[in-house]
Amino acid sequence: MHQDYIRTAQAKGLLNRSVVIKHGLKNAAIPMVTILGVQANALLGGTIIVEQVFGMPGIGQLAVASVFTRDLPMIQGVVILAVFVAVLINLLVDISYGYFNPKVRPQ
Amino acid sequence: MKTASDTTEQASPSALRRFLRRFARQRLALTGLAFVVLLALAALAAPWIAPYDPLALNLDIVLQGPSASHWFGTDELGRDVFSRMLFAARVSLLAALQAVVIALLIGVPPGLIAGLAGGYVDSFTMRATDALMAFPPLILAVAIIAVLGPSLTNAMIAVGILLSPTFLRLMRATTMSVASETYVEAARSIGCTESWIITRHVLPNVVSPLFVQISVFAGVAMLAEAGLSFLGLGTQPPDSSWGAMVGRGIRYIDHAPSLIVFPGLAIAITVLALYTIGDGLRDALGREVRTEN
Repeated sequence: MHQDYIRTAQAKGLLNRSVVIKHGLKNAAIPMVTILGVQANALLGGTIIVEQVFGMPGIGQLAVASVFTRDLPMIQGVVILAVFVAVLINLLVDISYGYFNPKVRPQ
Repeated sequence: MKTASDTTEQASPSALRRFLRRFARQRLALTGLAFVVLLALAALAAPWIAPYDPLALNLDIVLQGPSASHWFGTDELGRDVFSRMLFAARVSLLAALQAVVIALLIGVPPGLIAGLAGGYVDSFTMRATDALMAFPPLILAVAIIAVLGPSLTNAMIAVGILLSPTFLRLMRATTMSVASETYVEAARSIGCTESWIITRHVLPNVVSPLFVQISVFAGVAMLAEAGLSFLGLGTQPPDSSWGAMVGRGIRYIDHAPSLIVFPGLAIAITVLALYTIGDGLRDALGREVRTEN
C-alpha cells in the first residue's frame, strides 16, 4: 500500500474503497492465488482422510474401498479425475495471473 | 588435485565444528533433536521398558481412561495403550526412515545427472517430475498401494515416490550452481572422469541442503504413514503404528477419547520435533554457505 500507483490513485481522488479493491487487492492477489492453487491440490488428496473420518461418500472413500477390493480400473478412474481437477486448478491459477497483472500476459 | 583435496580435508573438520557449534546454540532445534533421540531409544528399548505386553488382552478393563496402572488407558480389547505406543513408535520411526531412504534413492541420482548433463536429459527429467507433482499427493499414494497391495513397506514405497521429485529438484538446482564453479571446470580440464567429478567434487558440495530436506521430509513421511495407516492401507494388524492406533481408536471416540488423543499427540509432537531440527539445520548451514562465499 506504499506503492506509487496507490498514491496516484488516491491523488486522483478515487474512493478509498476502489483504491483498496482495484489497486491494492488486485496486486496483492497474485501470491495469494499461487498458494491457493498449491493448497487446493494438497486438500484434494486430504479429502481421502476427511471423508473417512466423517463418513462422507466421496471419491476418496471410493478409492480406499477400491484398494481393498483390488478394483484397479476404478482407482485409475479416481486418479485420472483427481489429476484432471489438479491440472485444471493449476491452469486457472496460471490464467488468473494474466488477469491480476496484465504485464505477464503473453504478447 | 592433491592440493585441492588437502585444503578440503583441512577445512572440513573446522567447518563441521563451526556447524555443530551453531547448531548447538539453537535451543529449539536441540530440544527437537533430544526428543527424537529419546524417542528412538525408547522405541529400541520397548520390550524392556514397556509395562505390559502390547498384545496381551484383558477384557475386564476395556476402554479405560488414563490411570496409575495404565498411564494412557486401555483400548477396546483391554490392551495397555502406553505399551502399544512404545512398540508403535518403532514402526512409525522405521517407516519414516524407509520412505526418506527410498525418496533419496529415487530422487538424488537423476537430480545429479540432470543438473550436470543439462539439455535434453534435463528437460526430460524435469517434465517427468512435473507430471509426478501434478498428482494430489495422497491420491497417488493410494493408487500405488492399490497396485502393490496394502502393507507398510508398500505404503512407504508410495510415500518415497511422492517425496522424490522434491529431492530431485533440489539436487538439480544445487548441482547446476556447483557445476558452473571453476574447480569443476579445473577437474574436467585435467582429465578427471565424469564419475570422479560427480563423487568427489560435486556431491560433497551439494549434500548440505539435502540434510535439511531429509529431516523435514522424515516428518512429512511420518504424517503420510499415519494417514495411510489410519485408512488401513499402511501398517497391518497385529503390528501397529500411531496412525493405525488413531484409525482403530476413532470407532470408540465417544467412549474413550484417550485412545486417539495420545497417539495423535505423539504424531504431532514428533513431526514438530523433526521440523524444528530441519529449521535448526537450515539456519546452521545457511550461514555456512554465506561465509564461504
